Amino acid sequence: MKKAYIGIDIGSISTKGVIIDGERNIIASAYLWTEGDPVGAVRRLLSELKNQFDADEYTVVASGTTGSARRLIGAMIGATIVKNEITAHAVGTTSIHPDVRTILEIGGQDSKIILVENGIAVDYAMNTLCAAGTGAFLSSQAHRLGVEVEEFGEIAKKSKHPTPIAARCTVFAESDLVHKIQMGHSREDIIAGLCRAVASNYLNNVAKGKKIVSPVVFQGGVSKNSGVVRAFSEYLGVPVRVDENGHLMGAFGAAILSMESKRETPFSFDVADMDFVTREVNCGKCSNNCEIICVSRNGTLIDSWGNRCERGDIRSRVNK
Amino acid sequence: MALDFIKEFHEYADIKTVGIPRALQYYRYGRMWIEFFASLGVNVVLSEETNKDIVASGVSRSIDEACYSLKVYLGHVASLIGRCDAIFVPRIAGYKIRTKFCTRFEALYDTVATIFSDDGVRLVTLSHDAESEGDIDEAYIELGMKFGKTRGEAKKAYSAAVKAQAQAAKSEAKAQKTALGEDGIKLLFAAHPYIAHDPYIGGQTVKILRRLGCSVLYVDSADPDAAVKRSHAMVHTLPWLESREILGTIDLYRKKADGIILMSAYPCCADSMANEYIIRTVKDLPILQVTVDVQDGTAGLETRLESFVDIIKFRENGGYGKKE
Repeated sequence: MKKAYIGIDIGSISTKGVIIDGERNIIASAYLWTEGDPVGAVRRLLSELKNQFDADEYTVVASGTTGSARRLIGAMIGATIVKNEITAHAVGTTSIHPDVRTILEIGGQDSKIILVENGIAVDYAMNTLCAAGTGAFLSSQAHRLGVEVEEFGEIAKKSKHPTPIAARCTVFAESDLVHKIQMGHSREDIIAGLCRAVASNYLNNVAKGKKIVSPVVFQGGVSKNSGVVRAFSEYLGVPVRVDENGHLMGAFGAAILSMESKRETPFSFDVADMDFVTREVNCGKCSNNCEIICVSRNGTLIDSWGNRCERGDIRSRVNK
Repeated sequence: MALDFIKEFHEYADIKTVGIPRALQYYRYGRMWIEFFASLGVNVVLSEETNKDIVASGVSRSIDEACYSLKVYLGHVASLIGRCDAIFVPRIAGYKIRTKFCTRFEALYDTVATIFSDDGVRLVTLSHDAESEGDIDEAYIELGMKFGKTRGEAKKAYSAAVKAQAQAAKSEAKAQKTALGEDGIKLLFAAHPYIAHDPYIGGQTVKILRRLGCSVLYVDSADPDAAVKRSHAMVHTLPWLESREILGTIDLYRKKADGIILMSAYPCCADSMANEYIIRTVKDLPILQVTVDVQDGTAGLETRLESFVDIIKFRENGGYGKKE
């Protein structure tokens, strides 16, 4: 029986999962929408991975979770490691592109830049105050224009004179966009302008003050949009790499980290069939009134978090 | 007439209990204030540590454009209403040119007096601006005399206060020295004291960092005087004392710290300039910039701190998975 490692990346918009063998080859992968239900998404994800997985040849010996619901899902599947998405992405990407120097990533709600030297992340930045220029922004604008966001790249390609659009803030971008539409700019020019706005907004905000060195790898859901990819390589003056598995890098990194942790913890696909309940409890022990999330599996509390101080440490109180 | 003059001179003499808002300059001069009032024979009530209710009430009393720290301060003032005879709201503008406090501090008394004008709140103030009014010592002594004390008594209370403050600083410096000697990752928490030491604001960061196995170094526990001196050699024009302390301490700790957490309240005018300077000139230490605002939840903060610490660890270990 060969050893395998599973990594799950649960983002706000999409949930990704991979299973790798001991040589870091991806032997199963899945990608689906989170739809506001991370536990449900992981259930579906696991059953999809299970179908691709050869249980006679491999056995999963360690698991890792990353992404914004990493802790919740980590508790659910009993993960070996729970890692932040910056580290997971850096580890995943440098395994596939050992020479990478800059990782651009634009996801549903987050965007980040990771600078790499000699195969390790040395600096990073994340969007600070707002989600302007992320996937969620593009989706809402696509909706306004009545096209699918997936078509953006093809439509933008036709544009000869991309319309300048202020993308510093979603509110301004939207009013600017409406104004430009009413002024009579063509749809392809506006869409091309939006793609450029996303790239320039990213470079002026998230990547502000960071030295972008080639090779550049572009990841996250928005990297599937060829209009934005083109805008990035025009602004940066260097080719921008996008690979087919770019969206899986977080999950891939989590799987690698679980392998490198040198610890093995039991993992079972059956976890998908177990009964998971998350419950929000208002602590009420002081005026902070922390919202504590309690996760129970088959009726037993397995984890809790969200408390600012020890008074709200429900888990250790229950398990005493 | 003559009696009226005395009454005015002793305008605070009837105050038995003074409330001190636990925010802004409390984190700089708090020990001194408590000791000063106690030595004058005045009872001191501190507002509670910042919590959700205090933040919410501060936000509701403040204009949107005010910084998070001022909003928090207003919440502390509100929480003291009814718990004391008067609330101590100083106006300490700063020292000489290029070692000033932000204008918010200069305007603090007027801001509070205006915002709480309908609440029947009595305020006690200490007004000082070194540029026009000389040493701050005299301002404290005058304040003491307003409480009906003789000049000698007020002076005595002030020296007791200075002593208490110096003692507190000494024990903090000692704790910092211990932290500097510890193994593991040491991070300089480069922030104003009212951010770094407020348990609700910077305290969450300190908790997360300690859980990640890091020791936290503070700007005000280093050597603020040496830091300010150092900062003058680095930049001439920077107007603010606390920005100078942060900048100078970063330079003092260049070889001692493994990274810098640069945390600011939103929107901080001083930091918007000073942080930019720091990020552009300090290239040999990893810097994480974090902006805090009226918000709940620490998930985003945890992600940022965790990955920052990871980066430092991986750097030191020369790659992933070499050592956890």
